Amino acid sequence: MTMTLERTGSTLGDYEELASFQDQLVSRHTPARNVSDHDLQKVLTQFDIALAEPMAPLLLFVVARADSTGTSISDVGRGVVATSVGEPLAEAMHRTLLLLHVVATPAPAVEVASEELPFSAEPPGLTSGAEDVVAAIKSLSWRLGLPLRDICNAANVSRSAYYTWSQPDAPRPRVASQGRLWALAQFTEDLEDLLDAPPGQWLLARPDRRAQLIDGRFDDLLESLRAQPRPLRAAPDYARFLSVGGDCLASDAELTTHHREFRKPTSAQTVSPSRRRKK
Amino acid sequence: MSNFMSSDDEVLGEEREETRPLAGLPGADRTLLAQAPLELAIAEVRFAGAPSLPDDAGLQMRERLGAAGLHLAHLEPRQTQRVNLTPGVAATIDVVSKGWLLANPDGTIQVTLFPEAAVLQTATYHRWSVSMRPSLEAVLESVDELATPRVVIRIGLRYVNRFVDPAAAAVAAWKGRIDERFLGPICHSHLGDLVKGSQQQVDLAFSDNQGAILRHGPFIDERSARSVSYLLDIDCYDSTPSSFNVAELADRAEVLNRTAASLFQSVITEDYRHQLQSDGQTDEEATTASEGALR
Repeated sequence: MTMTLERTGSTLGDYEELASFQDQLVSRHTPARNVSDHDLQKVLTQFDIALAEPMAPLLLFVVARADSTGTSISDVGRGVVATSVGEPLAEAMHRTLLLLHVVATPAPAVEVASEELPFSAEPPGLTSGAEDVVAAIKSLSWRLGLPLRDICNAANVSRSAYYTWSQPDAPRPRVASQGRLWALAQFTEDLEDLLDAPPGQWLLARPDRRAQLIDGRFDDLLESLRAQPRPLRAAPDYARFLSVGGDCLASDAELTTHHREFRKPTSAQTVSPSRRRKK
Repeated sequence: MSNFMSSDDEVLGEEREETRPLAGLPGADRTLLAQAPLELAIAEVRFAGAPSLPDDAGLQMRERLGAAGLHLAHLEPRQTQRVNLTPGVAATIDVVSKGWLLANPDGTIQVTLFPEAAVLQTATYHRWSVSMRPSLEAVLESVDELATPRVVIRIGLRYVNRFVDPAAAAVAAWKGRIDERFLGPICHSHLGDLVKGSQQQVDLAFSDNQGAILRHGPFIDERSARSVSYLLDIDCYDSTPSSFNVAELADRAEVLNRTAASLFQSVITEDYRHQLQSDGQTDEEATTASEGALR
């Protein structure tokens, strides 16, 4: 079940399937909320993580991050995350897990006063077109490991336009001013599909790749990547999940036996014992 | 700490047909445990068809529960949020529902109320007839009056047990206490001594809509000077759809209690159960005590 934490593939359909799987698990358990015994909470979390509880990936991350970001997260089980799930958390979730969605509720009272709950706040899910574009540029910057300046150049978006869109109540960006942004997004998707490593590493491995990217020569980059010789692998990826076993097939063993029986004698074997003694 | 589930509200040896364990599991020994491992007991009822809660639902519930003898001084708003994470797009958060958390001052007893679920959680469980059933009935009656739900989707009853032995320096210390079929690799001849931890889950199906999830395994216990303790987490559920009837729901929860007790006694060995019972009450005393409690 922990395989669900792995990237399941490159298409959105796979992610949707993963999210659906998470939802199914959510309904199966009786959640424990606000466990005041922190040692017990730790043990339950440990089991959740090991047994791929729906919220386990998030809990794993959150436990590591709660102190540093101030984001208070708790409550093992469905359920349940925090009063404020900030963008750093969301980005890290995206990076680590690529889950489509999770279910969240507030942190326990010991960590969050009730007035801190975003009770009367507007749901922050509503975005304007400008916010979409800004979010996409930020996301590409993070995914490709390049500064915003490079992303704006590669997308043929002026930086002044980007900063204008970043302002509250920014006007909806015209299509023409979005340049190659969505082509760059598609290119990034393709790159992630083709590479086993983060795309930024590959792009920065040779200076001309970054230059090609900034020039918007996405197809050339993909062609060069496809033409690149692939390293040999010891076994297909799926073999790691299917089994762990010996390195020989039964047919190999038969072949070895066969070779042993009919192998030509070596020169050392053809030397008679008497000749050996003479040496 | 309290005792594990006991069918103490009935005459010993005579279990009502409707409250026997599910799937024909054997009835549990009802002797109370002197060294009880129970850390947490949770009863949850999920329902549908309820309109949103009144603005002062938490306050009303607090008063109703207080009148029923369950005094929960603390009241806090709660809400369920949905975080949407989509590749390439900023995360969004939607508020799905709003509810209330009621708790006693030390937080050991909590009631959570949402338009789609009511949860009773206690860390001071003593016995079913004292700690859970009356409180659950009070909670459900309040829910019935405040939210008037039409359909019940699921009843869940979960018991988190933590067996502690400060002298257990290795996982092998739990041989002979936990049934070896549950210990699994810990009983292996040459791997057993190498096992440092183990987290196992067993899914049981009693019928199409009823089942249990057992999670168990040894772990390093910080609270017990890093000795090896053993977690046994029993989550029984009944997801048979039904109308919202408080008495019926309490009976169904009681069946889950009986089932959980039977599972508990199937996982630990008989010797260990007797050890946990030692210094405890005898069957006769337990029955007498429970009868007293019922009065």
